[in-house]
Amino acid sequence: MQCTKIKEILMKYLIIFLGLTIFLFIVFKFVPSKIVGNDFPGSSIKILGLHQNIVFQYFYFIYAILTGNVGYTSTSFYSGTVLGAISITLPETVLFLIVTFAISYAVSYFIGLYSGTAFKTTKILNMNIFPLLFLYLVSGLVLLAIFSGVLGWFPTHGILSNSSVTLNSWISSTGNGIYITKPTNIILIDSIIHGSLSVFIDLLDHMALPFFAMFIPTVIYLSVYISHETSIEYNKKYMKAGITRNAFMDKYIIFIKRGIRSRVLRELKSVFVIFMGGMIIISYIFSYMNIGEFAIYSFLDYEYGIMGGIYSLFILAIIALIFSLFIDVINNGGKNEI
Amino acid sequence: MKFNSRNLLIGISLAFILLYIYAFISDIVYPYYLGVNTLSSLLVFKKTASVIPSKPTLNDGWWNYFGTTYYGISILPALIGSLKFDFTIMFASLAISSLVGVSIGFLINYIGGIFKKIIFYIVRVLTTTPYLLIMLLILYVARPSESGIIIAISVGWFPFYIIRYIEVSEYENRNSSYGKLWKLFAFIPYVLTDMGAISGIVVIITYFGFYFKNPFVVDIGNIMYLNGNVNAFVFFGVWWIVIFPLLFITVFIGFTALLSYEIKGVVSNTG
Repeated sequence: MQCTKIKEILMKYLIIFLGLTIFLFIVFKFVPSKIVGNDFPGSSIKILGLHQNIVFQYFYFIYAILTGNVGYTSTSFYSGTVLGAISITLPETVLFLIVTFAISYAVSYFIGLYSGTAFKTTKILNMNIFPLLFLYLVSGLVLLAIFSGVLGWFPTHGILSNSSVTLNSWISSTGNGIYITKPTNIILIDSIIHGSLSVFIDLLDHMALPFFAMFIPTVIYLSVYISHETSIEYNKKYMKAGITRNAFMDKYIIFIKRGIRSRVLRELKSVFVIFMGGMIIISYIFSYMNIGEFAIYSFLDYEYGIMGGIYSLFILAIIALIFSLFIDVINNGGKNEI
Repeated sequence: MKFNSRNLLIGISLAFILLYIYAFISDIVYPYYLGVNTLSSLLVFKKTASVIPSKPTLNDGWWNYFGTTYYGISILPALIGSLKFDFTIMFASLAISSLVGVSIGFLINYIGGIFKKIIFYIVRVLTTTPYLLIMLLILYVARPSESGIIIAISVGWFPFYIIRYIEVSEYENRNSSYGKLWKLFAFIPYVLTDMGAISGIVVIITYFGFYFKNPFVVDIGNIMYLNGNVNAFVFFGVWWIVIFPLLFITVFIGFTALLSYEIKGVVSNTG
């Protein structure tokens, strides 16, 4: 790929990043200074530059966001510094996102690719992505009601049970379902490091329902999309002549994969944004320790929640932007379609 | 019209959607058809004196087909009554976001240049980040109220109408034989899907417990929110207080998506 192309993409994302900070700042300025002062006891004027004009205040704001000097929060989820809440919840959030999205995508790709070549339909796909967000609420609550409530197979909430904390000195709890583990603060990895099979199983037990609540809607949507794209590619003229005359002997699937790659990657960007929305809903339903849960509790608390809400939105937006940037870079700006 | 499976699906979807809208309008015009004088509080649907939810039954009148939730509130009439709140917000948000989005889309097509680029970047900012959180942030600032939720959803949703307007315009430019009326027709599938999707967003926001310091506001999300005690109820196997409200709104969202899918197929096929 040409270096200039990457520079163009990076520049585009830099502008979007700056736009995001400006948007957050504009909304932030609508919050009364008394409420903002609650999150910065005795220091809001100095940290946020409230004595300066509005342009300088933006630079103070962006500096505070980038350095993590975003004050304190006191909600029913967490009390302490906002940065502390983010540093506790971020590792688990990233792990949960990567694991659930990667597995959902892999399974969807497999189902979509083979169903697309099996049915060979080229019907126009008019599926709309927006109802997908509501499907996460449906899947989360239905799984909770059936597998936790009626059958009692899985826990109703939390990321670990209290027994894991009392039996293992490397796990500490701050209450309200927040757990801190050493050394990485990622329970899955720390349980492997400490060789604790019971904690490992306890985590999987708590993770099962949130995982499937994310997995099922994503796989339904993505597999239908990939199946449709595959069937279009499979029925193109070049597939029927020359290069794949003996398709099954000729490993034709490679050509289909190349053909759909660009379009599927482009769709992944919008799916990922909705997926993150779904993660916020699921983490709230299952009280699964996560930045999304922290964000909701922050926005629910008008007196002490503004900086927690803005900073968690900022962090989740950065994750979405990094993913989108990554897709654009490997997709060459979406212009390498066959 | 020729009878085929597509027309049948369109007919069924349309019938269900109109049924929901009919119930919504009836709530506004004549709430007594539900057996209550006003929809002022969930307590007007209180059927039994027991605080413990009772199971769905077919033997105790239609009010109890879906069972009761806390305070003995019958779920089925409460769900029908909740359409007044949810659909009012949905239609208002849809109208504002589509009008604002289409107007901006028209302007950037007309003016173009740097203005178009700036608007594109604003749209990218609002659509690359999880828009659910953007709505919650706006709701925080606008303060939890009916108008606050409408503003929050409208701000989160209007960028999609800008994108759609541009898409429709580009499609029209490529196929110059289409008349101006076609552009309006092309928006119908989007509006239909959004009716369902925005209803879903309203339920999600209210399920989170925004707006409701009062646990008896007549709303689907609030019925499932259970004053923050949903996990406790579910833990004791009270499945119907979650499943039936979900089913009730999912049917509407599903049929709007299905109708949108089929109608858009008709739109695409005309080309």
